[in-house]
Amino acid sequence: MEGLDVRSLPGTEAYLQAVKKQGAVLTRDIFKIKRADFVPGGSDAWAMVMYAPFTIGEDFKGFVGSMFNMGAYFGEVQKAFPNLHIRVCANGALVYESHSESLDTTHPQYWFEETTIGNTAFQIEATPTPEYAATMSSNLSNVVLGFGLVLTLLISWLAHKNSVILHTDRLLKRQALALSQSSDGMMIFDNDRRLVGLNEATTKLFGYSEAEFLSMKTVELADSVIDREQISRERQASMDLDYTWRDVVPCRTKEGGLIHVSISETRLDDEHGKPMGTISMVRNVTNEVERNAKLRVSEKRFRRLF
Amino acid sequence: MRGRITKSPLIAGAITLLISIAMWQFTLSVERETMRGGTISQAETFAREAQATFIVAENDLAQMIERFGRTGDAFNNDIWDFDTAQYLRGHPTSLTVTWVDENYILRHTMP
Repeated sequence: MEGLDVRSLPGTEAYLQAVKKQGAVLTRDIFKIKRADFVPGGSDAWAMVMYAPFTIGEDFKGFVGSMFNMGAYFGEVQKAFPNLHIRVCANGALVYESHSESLDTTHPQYWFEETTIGNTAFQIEATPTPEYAATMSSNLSNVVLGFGLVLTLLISWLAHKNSVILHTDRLLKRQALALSQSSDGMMIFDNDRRLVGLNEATTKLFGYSEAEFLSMKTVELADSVIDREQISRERQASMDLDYTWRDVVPCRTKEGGLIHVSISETRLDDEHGKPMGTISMVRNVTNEVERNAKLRVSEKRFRRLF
Repeated sequence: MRGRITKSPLIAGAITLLISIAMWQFTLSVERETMRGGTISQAETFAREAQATFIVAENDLAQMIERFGRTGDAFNNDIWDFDTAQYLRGHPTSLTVTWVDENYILRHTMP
């Protein structure tokens, strides 16, 4: 190489003349070199040179300069940025790429930066490595999505349940309305044994208003009933067996009077055959009960005579 | 009546789902912005570093020329070897340091 007239290299004479004229370091535009000229077996590389005029006293002695392998150069700078995938282009040519796999430029974290070295503008494309992106992600979005889906299911289920309850109530009230003209007392309960409808005959029988009735859990049994649990058990057993229950139970009216009531209860199904509650027919049988009681007393007296 | 039972849970579920998706997208965009901000900041630093490192190389070359000039010797081999070796150590990505004389003839190359 020594002894070479550098004017034979394209553009070099004009560049060195510009260095001499400027009287200071001047960096030349990036260009491609045959690296094998410098490093045996080396592949081609993108290089930049900077030259400065050399003088001793007033005597101009030529130029001293250095040449940089820009691929290696950006590789050195890259060492301080292990979290980034970097690609550097200049004049439309790829000068440096930090990773063998190509950058995903459609990725939202992709970023473009431009810098000028000497007279050359370099375009820097950067994107976080997957590992770095993972550390920056808080996973909050996944938590929000998961919570949202659970909330959606919960609200849908609650809305469905509420809708079914409202629908059943409407059906039961419609049944109660249909039975309002009956001379017997009619009471309709939902599946939770909540009184949802009754007719006028029932209010007359017990002396409570409809509002008072609806606020009660069920008909108040008379004090004379000793084992209320047994009545409840017998009722449940009968309902489980054939969906009906019949009994005569003493009850207390609003004024405190004692009445005997015949209750006939049967299951109420919706149009799909699904149980939605029960309907009870209540009838005042106090006179019959008292008459039977008197009859039994008379019989006992009659037997004592013989 | 039957339609009413099935529609209202669907509407409630659909509204909640839409709100959930909107919130998910919002948090995603916040995360993306955070990542973008971090990447921008690093890319800018990378660009500045690249530029600053080259300016240091230019300054070091200017200082080397100054030292050569002060010696008064056109090219003392010892000084040339010492200074250029030091320059190459300081800038490992520099392939070569050369002297071209006033007649554009390449006189010295290191290494």
